[in-house]
Amino acid sequence: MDISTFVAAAAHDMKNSVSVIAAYLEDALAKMAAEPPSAAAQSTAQALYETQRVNGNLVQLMAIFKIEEGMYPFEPAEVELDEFVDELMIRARPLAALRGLTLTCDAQPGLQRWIFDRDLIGSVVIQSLFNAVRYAGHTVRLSLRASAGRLEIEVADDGPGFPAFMLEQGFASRQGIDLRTSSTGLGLYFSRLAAGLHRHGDATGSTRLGNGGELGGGRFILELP
Amino acid sequence: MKGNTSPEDLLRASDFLLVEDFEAMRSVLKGQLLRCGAHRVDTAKDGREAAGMLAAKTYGVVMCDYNLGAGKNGQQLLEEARLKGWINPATVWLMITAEKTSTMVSAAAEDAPDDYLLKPITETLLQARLLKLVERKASLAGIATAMKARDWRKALKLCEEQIAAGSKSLAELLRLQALLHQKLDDWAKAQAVYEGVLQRGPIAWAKLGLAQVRLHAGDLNTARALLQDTVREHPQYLEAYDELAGVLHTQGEGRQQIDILERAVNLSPNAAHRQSALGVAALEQGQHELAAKAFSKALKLSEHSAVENLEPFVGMARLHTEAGNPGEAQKLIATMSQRYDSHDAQLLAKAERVRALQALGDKAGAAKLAEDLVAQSADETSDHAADMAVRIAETLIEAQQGDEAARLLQHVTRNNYDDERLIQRSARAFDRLGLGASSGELVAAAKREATNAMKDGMERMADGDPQAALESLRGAKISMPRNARVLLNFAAVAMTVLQRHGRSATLETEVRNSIATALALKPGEPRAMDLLQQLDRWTAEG
Repeated sequence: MDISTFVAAAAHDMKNSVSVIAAYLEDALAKMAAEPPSAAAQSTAQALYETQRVNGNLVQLMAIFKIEEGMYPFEPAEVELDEFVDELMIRARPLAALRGLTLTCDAQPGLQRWIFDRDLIGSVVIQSLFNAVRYAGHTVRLSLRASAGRLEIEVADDGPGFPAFMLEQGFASRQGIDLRTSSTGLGLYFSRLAAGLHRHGDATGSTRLGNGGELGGGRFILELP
Repeated sequence: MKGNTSPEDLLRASDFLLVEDFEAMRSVLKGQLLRCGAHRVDTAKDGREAAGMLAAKTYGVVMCDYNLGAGKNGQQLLEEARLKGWINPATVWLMITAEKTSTMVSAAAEDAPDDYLLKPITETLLQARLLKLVERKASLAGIATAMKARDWRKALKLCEEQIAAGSKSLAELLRLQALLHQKLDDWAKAQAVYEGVLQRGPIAWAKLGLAQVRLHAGDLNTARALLQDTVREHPQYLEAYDELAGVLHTQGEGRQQIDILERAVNLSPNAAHRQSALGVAALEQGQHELAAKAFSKALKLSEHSAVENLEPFVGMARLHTEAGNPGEAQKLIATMSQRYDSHDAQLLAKAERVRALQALGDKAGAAKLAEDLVAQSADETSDHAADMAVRIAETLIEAQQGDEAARLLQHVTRNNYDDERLIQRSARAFDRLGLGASSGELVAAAKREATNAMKDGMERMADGDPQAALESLRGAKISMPRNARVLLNFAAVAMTVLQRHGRSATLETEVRNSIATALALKPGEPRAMDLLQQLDRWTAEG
């Protein structure tokens, strides 16, 4: 067995444990429900969302492994965008509320459905939302629009934006990940890989990072053909 | 959906079954379900317990962990529940899993759960998903019910109404629409649906469908190229491998067929039917070691499955007989007969016994059993009875029962003169007997007889001699008792006679039996459905 097989097996095992921890935490939170939330409930909520971040990382790690081994069950299918967005908001909203942020969604009217792998793209966007929630000042916005046969999904915030080295490096290849910085680049690498699996005719999915825009902070943009 | 029942009401009114082997998780998930709006939640700790509960009560929602420890997994439980009718078309089956793997999603669309939910499951997400699924499933229940009753036209009508109404389940509806066009033998319309879907994006099932359209048109090369393309572009879509393997087999490319099946089996080693297919292909190519490996894996996998899987028993038995152990073969066949009581199982068991008796030197016993088997096989009325009969004939040829094999092949050819694919299959078997020429003559004679009977019948009707008209068609029916077209021609003319010349209980029974046999041979055949409806109306009017 090579090392990556060990890593994948360990990631699988860790993910099972994380699922159980998350279930317990959520159960505990439900039992502590009160208005206003107690300090214990707030800490539990914080623990729950950190757990989900770990879960998200493990999901991405395992998916990368499977994609590279040709074992990922890639399933592009028609996705109802309103439902897709609803689920993302449901998952990100509690964390945003905990940090006192406004989470908004801005979808181009008339945009009904698009073809992509729901789980794969869902985990790209949710990690990006979690990330934005972490760095935002007051607002995080998810927007969807289509033009020239491409669907654009953008996660923007009003935080300090992505550091210069990340913008320069862009969506680094795995070899380029700088382990000295706190960012492993896992999320960005995964995003690029996931986007790249989506093809239609000659067109391919892509990702890009930027700063500024209407909210003035970081912008993560995923484009799907 | 009926009236204005909201999805919330549906959740409240549904019986839930939660299947999860890990106790702590079970209680957490049950709490989540109750807080999501469920009122009645039963729990089961493994596949066996769940099977008992599903058999005893109809659940509206089943939430089931894919991994259930030893014994059945969630997918096998789902297949059993559908097979045995424990769940109805509106039941939502939600599979919970820690991660999505190709092994898990390898099920054919018909066998797949309604959705997968990846752990960890949060309450709000669970609620959103459940509300969406019960609503969607309720809206599709009418179509599913019509399909279960094999009323393809009604199902198609409902499907098209929902598409026009802008349903949220568009992708599923389009897939069903194309499938229903195929069932109704309208391949051009099926093709149009597939092409429309593919214009929007690279959807694997539409590519497979397009290949099936080409296959139906007899264009094997295009079908093969399309399937090879699908396998390349969607390496995890295992149904395409199965179809491609079938095409390669028809083209006589046994080695390539094995290659493709081995690739599929490596991707998803836990599908019993695919391991069986690999075993069969390997056996045909004389690769006995590979065949034995695949068959034993399939036997192991079938232990927890309610789905009938005869191939590994038959294949393994044949390997034993050929290795000089007919006793072992007999034992396996006995186990198969014990486990499955279907007609197919009985027929194949008998065929393998003929082989074993012959190998043991009991020529008289083998000949007697072969005769018995041919009579039984010719009497079958399932939608695959003719294919099964050719297969039985092939086994009989191998067991040196050439005369009996020829008799069975004659029966198949006569009764299926209008089915090009079956004629080709039985012609190949005739070739092995050195009787290649007789196939074409049989087909021509049967076609002549059926056409003449119909023409003659119509003329006699016009002459005002209904009894003579019926006699002509009855003659064809006696000569081709397993041909749906002949049976329905008889039924149609007999019904005209009944209408014009008054009711007759005897004739009505004969008509009803003819239609029933035609429907058994071709489930959902639209013309048979029409005649049956008309007959039912008369009976109801007294």
